[in-house]
Amino acid sequence: MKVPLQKYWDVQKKYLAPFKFRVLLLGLLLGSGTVLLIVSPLVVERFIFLATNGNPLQDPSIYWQSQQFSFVNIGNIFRALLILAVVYIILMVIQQVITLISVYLSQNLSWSSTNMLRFDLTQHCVDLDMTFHNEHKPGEMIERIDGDVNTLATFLSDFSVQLVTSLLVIIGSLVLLFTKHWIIGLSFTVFTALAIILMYILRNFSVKAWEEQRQTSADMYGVIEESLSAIEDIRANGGVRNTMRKFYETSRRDFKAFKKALVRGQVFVMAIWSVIAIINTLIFAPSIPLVQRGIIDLPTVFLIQMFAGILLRPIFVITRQMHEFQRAGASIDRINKLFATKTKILDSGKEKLSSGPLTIEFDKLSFAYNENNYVLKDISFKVEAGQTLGIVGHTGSGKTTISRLIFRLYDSKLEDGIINLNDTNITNLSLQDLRDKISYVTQNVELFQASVRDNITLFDKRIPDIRIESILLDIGLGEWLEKLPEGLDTIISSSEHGISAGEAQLLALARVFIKSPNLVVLDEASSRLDPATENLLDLAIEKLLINRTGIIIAHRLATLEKVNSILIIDKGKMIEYGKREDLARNPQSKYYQLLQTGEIEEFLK
Amino acid sequence: MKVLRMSWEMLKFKPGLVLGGFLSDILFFLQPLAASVVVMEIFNKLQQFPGWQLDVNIWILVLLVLPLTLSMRLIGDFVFVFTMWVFILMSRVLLRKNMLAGIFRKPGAVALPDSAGEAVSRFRGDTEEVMWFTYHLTSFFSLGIFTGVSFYLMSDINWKITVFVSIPFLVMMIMVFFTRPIFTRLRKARRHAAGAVTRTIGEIFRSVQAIKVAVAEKNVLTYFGEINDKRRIAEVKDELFHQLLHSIYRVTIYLGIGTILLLVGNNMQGNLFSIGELAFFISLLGELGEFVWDMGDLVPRYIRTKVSLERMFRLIKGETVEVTEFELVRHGPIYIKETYPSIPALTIEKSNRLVNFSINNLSYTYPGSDKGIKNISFAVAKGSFTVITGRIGSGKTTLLRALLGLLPKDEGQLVWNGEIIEEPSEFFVPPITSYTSQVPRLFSETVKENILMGLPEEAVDIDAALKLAVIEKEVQNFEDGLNTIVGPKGVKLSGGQRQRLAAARMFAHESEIFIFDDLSSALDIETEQRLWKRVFARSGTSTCLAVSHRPIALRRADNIIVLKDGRIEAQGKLDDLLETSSEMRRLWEEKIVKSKPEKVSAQTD
Repeated sequence: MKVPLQKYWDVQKKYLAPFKFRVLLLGLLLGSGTVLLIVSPLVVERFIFLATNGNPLQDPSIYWQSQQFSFVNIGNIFRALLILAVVYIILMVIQQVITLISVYLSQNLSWSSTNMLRFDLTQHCVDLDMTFHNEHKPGEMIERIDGDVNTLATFLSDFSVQLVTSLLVIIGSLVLLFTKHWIIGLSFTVFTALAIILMYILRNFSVKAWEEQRQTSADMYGVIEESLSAIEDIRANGGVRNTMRKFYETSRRDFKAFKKALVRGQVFVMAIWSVIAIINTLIFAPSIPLVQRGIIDLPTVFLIQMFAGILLRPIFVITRQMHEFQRAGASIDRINKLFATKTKILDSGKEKLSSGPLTIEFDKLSFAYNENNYVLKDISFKVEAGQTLGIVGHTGSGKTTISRLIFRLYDSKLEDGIINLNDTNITNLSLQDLRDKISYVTQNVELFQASVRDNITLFDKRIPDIRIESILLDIGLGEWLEKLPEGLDTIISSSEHGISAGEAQLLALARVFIKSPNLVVLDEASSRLDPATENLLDLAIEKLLINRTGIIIAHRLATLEKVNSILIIDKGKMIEYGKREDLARNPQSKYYQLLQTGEIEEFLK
Repeated sequence: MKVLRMSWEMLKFKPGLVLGGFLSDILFFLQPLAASVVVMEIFNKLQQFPGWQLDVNIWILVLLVLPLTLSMRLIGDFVFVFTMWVFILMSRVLLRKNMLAGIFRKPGAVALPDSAGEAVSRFRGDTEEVMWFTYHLTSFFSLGIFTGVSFYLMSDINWKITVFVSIPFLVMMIMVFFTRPIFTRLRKARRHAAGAVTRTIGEIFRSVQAIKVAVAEKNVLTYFGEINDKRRIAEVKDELFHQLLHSIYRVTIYLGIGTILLLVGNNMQGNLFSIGELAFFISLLGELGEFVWDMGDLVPRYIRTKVSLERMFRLIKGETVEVTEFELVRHGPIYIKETYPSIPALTIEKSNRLVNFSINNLSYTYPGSDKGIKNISFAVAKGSFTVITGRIGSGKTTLLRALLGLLPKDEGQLVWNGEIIEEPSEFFVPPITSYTSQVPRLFSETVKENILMGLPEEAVDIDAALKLAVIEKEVQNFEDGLNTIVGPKGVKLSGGQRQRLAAARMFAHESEIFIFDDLSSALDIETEQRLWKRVFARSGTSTCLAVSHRPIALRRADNIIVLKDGRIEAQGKLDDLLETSSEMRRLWEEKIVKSKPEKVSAQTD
């Protein structure tokens, strides 16, 4: 699979642009590091030249004498040598300081830019409609948002800068080699060009294998996360062995994919090493005849040897970057796939709702989650501003779907009827405005491991504590709050202290009271509560519904005692709809019978 | 935390692969040494300086021997992938397996120190850290061989070098030794910050619907951004500190090289030192410096690994069960090549068939609070129906959890057929008990797989289980029937369907006692009644223990346990309790009772 370079550029442009200054500074630092790298061998060459300037002494027995001599008699040459050695050390110290600052810069850059990407990706995915979220486990999302982006860390920090400075090192070295002798310069140039071409050809060799590996590992962590969030169910139902089986299966796939990617990556490494083998030979092969003919001297050969080493470094860096590049390519593809997933809920409406209670109307609405598998058929009702509607029906009869549609968690097809709020089709309203004015409480509650306050306000810092406290008091959690060790600051965590499912449900309900909506949708919002608490809550809800429109889905007839009208649905169809008082008085109505028997069964059969 | 002994255990997991990796490492590390020797020889020949006494043609050296030394590295690298890498991959599976299995040995309700999403980061980053440390431990020895030979060769030429190379090494060890606490602190902060990120991603996607309906996207993302930023700071700090040590170390090396240059240069002037030898020194010192750094780096690695092992151990460490950290590295099959053995059908010993079951004095208090249950005693007879009821937070779920061993009981006895059960969490699983939790978790698999949980299909009556749970008709209407995938945590189903599918899962595991925690909270009255009727129709054969507030369940109950503030307030049949217990009267839904004739009793459906 060939990957066009465009996508790499796009990602870099987008996520490095805000940090232009830092990238520039980093480039400057790495550039000066490059200069140092090229200068320091010249110092050594100079050093050797000076050091070997004297006459050769063949007899090793004079070694000790000369050494003693050298310490006693510090001649001019030694002073020059001393200066060169000190210069060398200073250059190297400067280089370390530069490295230190560059690490700081590039690390910061890498985390700032990847965090930005993580943020964008999360934002994008949160905005996707529920059909996406129904397909992807949270564990998988962790791996896709954190894991995939992690592999982009170097790519999104000093990748380009490293690449450019590496090229600079290569060019600088080659120029220097040319000044020594054109044959040497030429052979090194040809070789370097070949090496880079080879690497370019091989650059995508393992992209696909790594991409597969990313997916297998996302699958494995998906199984782990899913199992860890269902520990109780698994343990108490003897599912531990089954969990281990699933873990082993995904691990096995991940192991195979990882190994395959490694082996393919190894081919790349082998290519690099054959390049290095050639470079080592290249140093000497052309210089042997040149030295023998006296065209270049030995310190020069030494210099060339050092430059061969220096040339290796940028080639190394480039290959390592290429390797990163391949993994990054795989991750970019996966990330782009996520970005390319578009929400099916179009937010093109511009109209805004006026304040005050809303009128809501369903006009011949039908809906199917999948093609033609309709779960709602021709639903029509109208709730006037400030009125309340109770919806009764079996589980799976479509009650929850109705509330999801009001919220535009799903959209029905154009020809399948419309939903109006204050006589405006909800698709013509801005999504933000729509959801702002409606509150929705579901039967399922998930809490964040964050403070009680943040769980209620969902991290909205503008809401004063006194308001939260009074709401908790209203819905019957006053006593619970008093018992918390740190009040609203208490962190709700899964294990530390038991928060019961009923308490969690009440916390979720508190979120509605915070919002002050114009339409309230309660979907079995009190299902996990005991009757005593539920009675208390009824009062609070009654208060909430004053001057607000409400839709209440409930299994308790008591909860429905105060609503204005009743809708009974079964298998997605309307069975009965009318004013509650009328229905309650009419012995023919199903609601009447329901009140008599307390059972829906008899007449729904 | 015995890091070294644990690493040793890891190495013993696949000794063959480790040995292969070790040998390939030696080849890998010896290459620069061999190459340096050859290069020195070439220089000597060019300079006509006495080298080896063998008369080897210079061209053979350049074109044959030199490239050959490089193939050592190539072979080493290649073998490394198939030995050490495979070992690392396999060992990570082993570590993860031991973690997962360890978590499932703990009381299920308090198994995780944090959320499931956070735990994933321990499965990912921390296992990686441990494996790389283990590998570097082996490379310590292969590097040691390289260093030893290098020192020998160099000191043969000049003994002073040995001293100068040792100084930076010593400096580094001292530095690392005194900065250990900083290393530990930074590393812990880093891992902690990374865990917070994965946890938050998990939470966001688990609560995505709640976030959407509360229009809290912006606030939640801001919170996510803050957590990301905290991580950036922690990561950069840790990395920078590491780099600072590295830089200081490098500077001491350069000081060493500078001094050596000076000494050597002086000797060269007297021609006691050839250019070849200088080349040898400089190239070797460069490599040696990096390798010695790697060895010294083992100490920070050790610290990081210790942090990671502690985090991993925290997952499997129990408060009641004695587990040592060696459980993490315990050898066992990892099913990388072979498939996991299939799970046998459930069988029950005759002696374990329920005659009577009694709970004596059971107590559990959540740590750091006074919430929990105290001195709970009651008995469950074969074929009976026991209902636990009470207000929210009264300890109903806690009671079931403590009974099932999902929470470690503080005191009390569980007596099954006259025998005290020491390990409730091992004993109270199918076919003894089956359990449906209050918020049941399903898996993103098919309906059938969710019900079977790995049991052989032929041993389970799926249809009967579906029917008992009153979900058979809906499943028939699903797109792919039993093979419909239910989505992560069953999100594709309605709340009621999820709960009934979980009930079907419970019924499929034919058990002596079925335990329901508020099974019907998401069900409408009619479906619920039908479910109870079907369950009661089996009475005599099945024994049930349920948390419920529903009149139908309370009326039918042979024994009602009324909980208040974690203690049994009253116990008995409904009619008696309504007379004697004010708490029972408060919980009794009077409004419904008035309009509802007494017509629900055990009858066939």
